[in-house]
Amino acid sequence: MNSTLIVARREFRSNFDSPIGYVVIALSLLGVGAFFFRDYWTINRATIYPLFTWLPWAFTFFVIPAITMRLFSEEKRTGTIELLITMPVRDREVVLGKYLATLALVGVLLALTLTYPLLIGRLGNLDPYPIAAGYLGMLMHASAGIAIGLFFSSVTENQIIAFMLTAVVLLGLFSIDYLGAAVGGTLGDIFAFVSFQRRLAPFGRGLIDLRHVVYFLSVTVFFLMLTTRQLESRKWK
Amino acid sequence: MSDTKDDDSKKNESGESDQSVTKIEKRKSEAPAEESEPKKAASVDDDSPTGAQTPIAKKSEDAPKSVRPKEGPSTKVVVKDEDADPPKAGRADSDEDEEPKPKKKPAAAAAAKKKAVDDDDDDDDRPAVKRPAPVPRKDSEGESRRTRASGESVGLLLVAGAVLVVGNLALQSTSRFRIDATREEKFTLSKKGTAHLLSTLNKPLHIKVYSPEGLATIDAFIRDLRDLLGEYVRYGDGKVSYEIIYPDRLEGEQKTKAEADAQEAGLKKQLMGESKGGAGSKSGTIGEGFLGMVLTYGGEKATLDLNERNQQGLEFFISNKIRELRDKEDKIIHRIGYLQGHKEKGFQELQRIFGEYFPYYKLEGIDLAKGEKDVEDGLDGLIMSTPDEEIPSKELRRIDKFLMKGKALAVFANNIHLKDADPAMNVTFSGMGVDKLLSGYGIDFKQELVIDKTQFWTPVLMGPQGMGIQLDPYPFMFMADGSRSDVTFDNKFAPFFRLPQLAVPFPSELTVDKARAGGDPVSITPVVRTSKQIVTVQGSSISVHPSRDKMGAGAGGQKDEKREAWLGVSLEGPIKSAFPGGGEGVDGVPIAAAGKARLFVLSSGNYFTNAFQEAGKSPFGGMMPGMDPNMGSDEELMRYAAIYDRNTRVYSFLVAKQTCDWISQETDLLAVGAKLMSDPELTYPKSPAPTPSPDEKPDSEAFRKKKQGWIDSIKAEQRFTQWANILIGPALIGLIGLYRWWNRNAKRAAVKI
Repeated sequence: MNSTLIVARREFRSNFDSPIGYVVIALSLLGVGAFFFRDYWTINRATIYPLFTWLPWAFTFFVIPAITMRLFSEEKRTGTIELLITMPVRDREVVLGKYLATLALVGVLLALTLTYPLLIGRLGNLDPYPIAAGYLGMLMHASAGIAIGLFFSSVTENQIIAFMLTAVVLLGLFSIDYLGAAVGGTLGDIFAFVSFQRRLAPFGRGLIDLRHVVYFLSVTVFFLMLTTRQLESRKWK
Repeated sequence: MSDTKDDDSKKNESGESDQSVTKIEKRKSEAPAEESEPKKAASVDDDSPTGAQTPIAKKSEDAPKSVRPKEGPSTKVVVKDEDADPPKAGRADSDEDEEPKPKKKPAAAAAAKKKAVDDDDDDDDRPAVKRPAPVPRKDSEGESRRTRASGESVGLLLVAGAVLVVGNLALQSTSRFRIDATREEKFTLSKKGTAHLLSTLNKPLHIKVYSPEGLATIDAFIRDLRDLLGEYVRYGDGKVSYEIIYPDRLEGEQKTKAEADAQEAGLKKQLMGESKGGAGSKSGTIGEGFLGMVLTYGGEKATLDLNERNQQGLEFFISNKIRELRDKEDKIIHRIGYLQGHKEKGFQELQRIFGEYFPYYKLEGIDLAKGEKDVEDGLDGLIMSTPDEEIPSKELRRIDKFLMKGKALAVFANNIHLKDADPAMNVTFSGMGVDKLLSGYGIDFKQELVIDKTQFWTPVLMGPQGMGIQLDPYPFMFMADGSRSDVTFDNKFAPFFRLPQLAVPFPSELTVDKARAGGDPVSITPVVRTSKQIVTVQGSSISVHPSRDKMGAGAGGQKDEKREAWLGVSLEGPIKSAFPGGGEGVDGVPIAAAGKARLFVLSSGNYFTNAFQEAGKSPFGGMMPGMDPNMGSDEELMRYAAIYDRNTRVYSFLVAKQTCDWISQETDLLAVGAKLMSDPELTYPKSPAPTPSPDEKPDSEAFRKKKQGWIDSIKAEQRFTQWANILIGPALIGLIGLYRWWNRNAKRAAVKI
């Protein structure tokens, strides 16, 4: 665990050694802000629900693919992965450390959106608990997304490919609910079952459902395992 | 086996292993001297996660001692690793897969030994490694281990994946655990409401949902509905079941039968459409079918149209239908009395509304025949509204006797009396007997009208295209905002439960004497209060007409006061009798109520009627056939009447319904009712809406400027909130970046070589 935290700390710091961390956070905050206030004053409700509508899109299209693409791809490309793996840390510690560091980066991004409840709370009677639930949902969603991004980063040396693969898969998982609604029937139910959007929406409304929590955790665990095995696979390649 | 070993030995003697050793040595010799330094440093780096040795160094420890050099430079490692396999990037866990290497055959050992000796000779004069080098791993064994490890890994992954999928599927159908974090539990099946209601069912309840297929929004809605009905099943303790029927999926006779069933139950086939890609899209889908539910409880059936696809309100509608069915089937009727016989107003209208919307309440007019009759024990409670005639003392004693039986009494009246059909709208102070009854319980009305300077009615006349025209504010109507329920009205109190606003026409202040009420055992709760900025208006006859030139005429004086006034109160417990021992032929009245009597008083004149309409109506309008009923009516009063009717009275009716819930103690469904509420509106507390001062007209230039200033202030708040939210985050992260960049440069500059 100590090794995991050391890897996580170093990885987290490295996010801020290059402009990428700053650019990703700043751009996503600007984009989400612009969308948030598109109809906000017209709707005139004391809620920050639109934040939990737009942030997942930003996570899906941009934030998660961008911050996960380099995690292993870059190390593979530059060869530093060999240095990393010769260190006396287990593969799973490396994977978990990188995962935690990226989740912490998302945490920083989310922390910077706390201005929304703080400032909007001055204008109306905000209910704080759904906001907390919404943030929990965002962390759950980010957690699953990062695990997926980490996996794709571990399968290729090319960051662009890792970005694209992550974005496509996340977009698919996020928006498959629309397809489910269009298809209907059992297939629709299956699509709804795997849809990130469908799982995430209740959090923003203030509902913390065990099924959704377990689902996001399952996706996270599965892809972290997959990434670990992907790293380990060099043993038998 | 031995053949293979022999082959390997041969290879070692002549060949492959030695070649590999040579290659490694060659790489080493070609590498610049410093290139090996980082690895070496890494191997002893204290800053490494565990502070342990490098894998290579570890490997040398793990390797059979027979080949382990006692000491010496790293070059000797090459000798140990002369396995035909390329050297692995070893780590702590990868070593777990390593097996002890088989002993080399003598020839191979000799070759290895020779090599080791040679190496040693190159480096120093220390004796060469005496022990035989290990036999190189066999390719086929290594391959099989790798295949096995790979297979195990994939297998483990598949098992883990399967466990997660099965676990999620199982949880999907079994788990109902969820936390509704909203303040009012808006999205949860109300435990007090629906869950309690379901626990009172003593027959099976079956719900059939009919839905078309192929419309995305409806499919999504049905999925939500299924979740909700699942909650009903869970709380129904085996008595509730549901099924979703898609007639479109059926064919032939089955389809015809399903559609006929839906039709017979009262559902109608209808066209449904939706735009593709949301509002503004030019393409769309149109479908036709039934969308509704049929609820069957015992022999009773009820239908619910699901066109209102607002999930927030769905539980309210479903639960009310279930309650209606249960009450019909189980013959549960709540009888609520409404005192009549003294020209009380509003009864007929309330009775009609109750019959239509809340049939489980039987609102009965109760005439006590000047006190000759007792109030029936079968009634759950009694409602009194403003009478136009004095209530005889004997009737008051009958009402007191009823309350003393531990029943409920709700009074919507005070001492303000507004004469019927009086266009001047003059009020006088006369309680018509209500004040005498309440005085017995320690509740007294002050002989004055009370105006809350911060909360009063500002009627807005809606013009063409939704343009609102603000009329003169009307201070004699207390208008409380539900979002300020902490200081105005208690919207947790059953009759006001979660009401967004409350209008109290013609209020007067009431006071409560605890001792007379019954002392400590009686709980006294103010449920409606003014703010601490009030004006009290005194006089024997005061005009409450809304026009500026008439309003307040006849007032003897007014006082600005910085205190709150109670306009509504609730008493609960062993309330003392207003007429202990009875009297006037009414006997059997105890000194205090047996058990828990409940009394709720809302100090308002004409609560259930539209006073503007009553006052403004023409005395002769509509008297003859063909005559305009509004002919001769007061136009200004009728304008106010129309606005009051449209915007405000609905809350009076809700209060009436919820008062019945309070009386019959069916407060369960109140919690469900809350699910109709959406998020509250933005209120901009730092920019309160301007109100015209008493000598200021709303259309005056000065007031218009005030209003413009208010609008500007709101816009400024919006601009600040918007740009602060959009920019603070990026700016903050940018500053952190700049600081780190500057800090790093500063550190670099400070480095001395």
